[in-house]
Amino acid sequence: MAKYRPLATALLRQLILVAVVPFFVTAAFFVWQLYPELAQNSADQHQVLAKVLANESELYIRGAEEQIDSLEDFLADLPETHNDEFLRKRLDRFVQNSNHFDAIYFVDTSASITHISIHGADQAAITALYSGVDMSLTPLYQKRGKLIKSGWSNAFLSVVTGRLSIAYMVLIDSREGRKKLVAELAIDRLSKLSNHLAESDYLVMILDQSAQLISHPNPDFSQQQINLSNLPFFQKTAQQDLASSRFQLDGIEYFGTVLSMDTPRWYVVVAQSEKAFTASLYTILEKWLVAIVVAVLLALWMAYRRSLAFSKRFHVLNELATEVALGRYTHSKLEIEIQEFRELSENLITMAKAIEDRENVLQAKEQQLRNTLEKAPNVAVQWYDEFGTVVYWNDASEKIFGYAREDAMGLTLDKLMFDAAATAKFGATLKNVVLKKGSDHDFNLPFRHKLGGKGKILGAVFSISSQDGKALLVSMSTDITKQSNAEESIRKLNSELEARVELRTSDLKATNNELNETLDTLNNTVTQLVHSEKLAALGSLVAGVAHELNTPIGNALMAATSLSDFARDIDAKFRDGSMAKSTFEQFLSDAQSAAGITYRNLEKASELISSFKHVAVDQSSSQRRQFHLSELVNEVLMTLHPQTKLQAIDIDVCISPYIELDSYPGPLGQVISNLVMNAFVHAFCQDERTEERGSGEQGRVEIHAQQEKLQVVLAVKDNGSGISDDALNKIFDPFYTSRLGKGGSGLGLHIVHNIVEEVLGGQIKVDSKLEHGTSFTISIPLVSPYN
Amino acid sequence: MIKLNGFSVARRLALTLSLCMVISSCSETEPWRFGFVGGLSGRISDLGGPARNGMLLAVEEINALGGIDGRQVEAVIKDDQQNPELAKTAVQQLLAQSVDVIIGPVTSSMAVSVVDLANQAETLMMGVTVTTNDLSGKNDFFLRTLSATAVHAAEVADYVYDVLGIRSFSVVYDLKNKSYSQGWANDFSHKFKAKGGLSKQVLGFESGQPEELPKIATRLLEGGPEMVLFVTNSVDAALLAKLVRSQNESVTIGTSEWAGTERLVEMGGKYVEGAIVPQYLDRESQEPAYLVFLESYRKRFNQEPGFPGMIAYNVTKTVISTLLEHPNAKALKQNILNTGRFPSVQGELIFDEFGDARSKTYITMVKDGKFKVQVEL
Repeated sequence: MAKYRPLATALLRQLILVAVVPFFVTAAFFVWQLYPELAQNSADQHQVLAKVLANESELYIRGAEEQIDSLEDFLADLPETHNDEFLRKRLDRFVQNSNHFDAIYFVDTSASITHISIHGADQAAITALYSGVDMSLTPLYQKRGKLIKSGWSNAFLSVVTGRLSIAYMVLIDSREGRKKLVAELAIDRLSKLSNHLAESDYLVMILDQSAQLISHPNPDFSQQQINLSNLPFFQKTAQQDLASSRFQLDGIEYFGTVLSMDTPRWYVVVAQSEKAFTASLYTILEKWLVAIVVAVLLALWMAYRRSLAFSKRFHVLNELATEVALGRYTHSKLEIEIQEFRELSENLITMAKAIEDRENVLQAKEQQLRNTLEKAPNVAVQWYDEFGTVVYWNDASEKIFGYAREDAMGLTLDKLMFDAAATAKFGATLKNVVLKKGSDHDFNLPFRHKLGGKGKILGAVFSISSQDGKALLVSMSTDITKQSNAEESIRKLNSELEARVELRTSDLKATNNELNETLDTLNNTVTQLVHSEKLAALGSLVAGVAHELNTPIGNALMAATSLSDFARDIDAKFRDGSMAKSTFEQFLSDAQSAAGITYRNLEKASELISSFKHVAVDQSSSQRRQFHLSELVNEVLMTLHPQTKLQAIDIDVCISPYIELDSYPGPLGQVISNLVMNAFVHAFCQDERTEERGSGEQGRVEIHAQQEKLQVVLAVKDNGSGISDDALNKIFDPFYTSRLGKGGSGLGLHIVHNIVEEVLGGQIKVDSKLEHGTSFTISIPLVSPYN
Repeated sequence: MIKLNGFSVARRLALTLSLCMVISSCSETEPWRFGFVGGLSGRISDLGGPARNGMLLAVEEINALGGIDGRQVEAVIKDDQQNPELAKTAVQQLLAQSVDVIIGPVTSSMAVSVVDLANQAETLMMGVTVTTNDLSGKNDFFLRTLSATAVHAAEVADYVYDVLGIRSFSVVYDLKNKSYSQGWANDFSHKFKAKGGLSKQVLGFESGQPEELPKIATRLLEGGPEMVLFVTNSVDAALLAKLVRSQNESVTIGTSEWAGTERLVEMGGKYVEGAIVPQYLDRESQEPAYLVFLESYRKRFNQEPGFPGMIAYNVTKTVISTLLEHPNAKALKQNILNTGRFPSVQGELIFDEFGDARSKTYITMVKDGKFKVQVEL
């Protein structure tokens, strides 16, 4: 399980890490970068110093050499007359005054000492002692057969001084042969050189050719013939003149540089104890450590403070959150500099507000719900536990049952408005709901109002989960006493109803019969009327025909008469021989003209008769045939001509001659006839009819038709006075006429309507606008239905 | 208190380690400390120097092989300058540094003056070229690594009398190393006289006053001994040889083992030709171990080891080999005695129950500047 740390601690840890990282980085840098550099620096310094010191050592050696060289010069220049005594004195003076050499002597060709002087010793005594000493096996004479001619020897134990010494030799030619002048220098003198050369913590050593220590600040060491050829840098010096490394001497670790001198081929070692060497580093390290420790401590302390301060912020935020949790929503903005915190606090406050609002909303809703329950006027709502004890009792319950909330709470219903049976039933219902036994949750039970009245309630029980997990049962019921009573009445009425209905039914039957009869009568009347209308129409048609015929026949008669007269005349003239050519020509032209008139008028009459025949036949029978619409229309118009010619109204017909119908031409002709006559009679006033219209337009009736697929649309338009809107509704009604008392039967359009719809199987529409005109549009199928 | 998780701890460790590196000398494991005391400067330095070198060679060899029990050996060198007071100081200094063993001193007189210190500190002291009778048969912390003077001197007396046929001698000895030199002179004299020889002069002198030497040389020759013996250091012996030879060309010159270093030949030159010099070692040995040792020593120190170098080397190797088996400084002496026999570059080093060893005497004669072995005794 994860551990929880306080923010301050976690932050602190992180900050510690941050603080400590630079420490490690610098430490690493120090170790890997700085230290080697400093070491290198030191080595470089050593080398420089070594060179300088080597130089100085060489100078010292040179100085010593020069002393001998100048002595040698002096001796070389001596005239040979000078004797031993002089020589001795000279040597003695030299060695006593020399600050370099401890002993000086001559070695003859047989390697024996002659003429010796030792610093601080009585010459006479030592001459006796040392004169004649054989030097041939000393390092003055190198092994392997090679003779050291001149220069510096390696360190050796001197027989004349009993001390570890080095000797400088020069060759001098004398009458006795080639002699060596040997000057011995006690090694411990060189210590002085070391001391002189060395700085405070630097160690300067001089080693001879075989790496034997001959000069050390500690004179004792110089004497001990310490051989340092095992030191690491001697391995290196074989390859180069200058080498640096670490070494240990007498238990102390050093870091040193060795430099080989030229003459003599010695080595100068400049070393610094590791301690001194690292001391400088240590001081730096110390300072750095101090600085870094201070810095780290400071950083840590700051980290600590900052962590606390930081976590304080969270405390504040925490408090805010706690307040919100406790339901206290009002807070002013927190004054925090950190942007995210500020945002967080603002968001918290916003959240608090939102929560508050939501709570308010919820509360309001809850209140609403409560009110719904509380204030529902007619719905009694109670809550029961599973034992039937009242735990909630709304206002309506009070009203309906008469028991106040305080009285009802905590009681079971048998103590309230139910009798034992009802209580038991109710209890069973509750149990069913608790045990979720399906649908048995309704109840319909009698109750007893507190004040004694009896009633009934209808309701349902359902369970809702309560907060503590126990069953909470809700009962919602309404007072159905009134309804219940009403039901009773209804039941009673119901039984009576049957009888009443019977009675009414028979009445109605009788009335129905009467009505049916009346309807039949009416229908007959209508049929008769239609028939008489037809007759009337036919009659007028005949009248019209006769009238029409009158004219052409009359004309023809007149012309024939004229012709007869002409014939009689000419006959007469012929007979009496007064017929001139011109008269005969006149007779011919008159006769032709009269014949023409006769012919044309008789033809016209014949046409007319034929047309009328058609119409009559058609109109008197409802026979079906195929015909061209245009022909039919023309025929009809022709029959109407007698009436239409009286009026100054144009009739325009625009019908394609190709429209062919398989239909009842009679009835259709009647339709057209009625519509046209209607236009003439109703659309135009007397003046218009008989005279030119005074204003504007010419009165016109247009008849045009077009075929639309299997239908033909026939329109009869006029630009007459139009029909008012309320009249439009009625024009197809039987016996509707605007010319009541003026001879209109009111059946024309009714008949039209009937024919169009029933006989022709089509539809008729009317459009009209007062003062503008009327238009009847008939759509009928090309092939009328068979009836 | 801030608790650090594992990661932090690792960093702390790294810190410690890096600091360690920075401060450099993280303490390594404590090294073994072998102390050395001997005369490193002056007339005696031909004993002390090579002795120290011999020890160093052995120490450097074992260090190169990884040390003893994983620990390096550190050599702590002290110079007693053949001065008893300085010797005591030196040993005290060594003991103060808690050395595990002291190799040295190189002369009997120094040994005698410091042995009590070793005993008190219960620190083992292995004498190098110490042969004094005074320290024989003692169950103490001093181990004598050569036969006692008595043995050696007597053997020389036998040789001189029997082989050389010499019947009379004079002897001079260095009072500054009395416990050796006087013992030697007496032991020789005793044996020689017991055999029937004559003792002419027995002289003591203080080394370090070379102006006295001519007189001594003269006195030695008084009575016409057939042989003069120098129980002195090599410098004095060389000078005496010259002085004596200058006066008398025929007398046989001999020294004790003490003067038997290369220095004697160097300094004596022609005057020591024909001198009889007993040695603790066979200079002409062809034993591989010896040759290897010679080679190493010469290479390292650019000089001859002589008997001091060899003996110090052997002694140090003995200590090392014992510690390798039982890395316990406190029980060192006991372990050495328990083991008893140790290989050396010439033969064996054998200790008796008192820690006294037996060594051989090789009689040599200086010929052409070299010690030629005459006989092994």
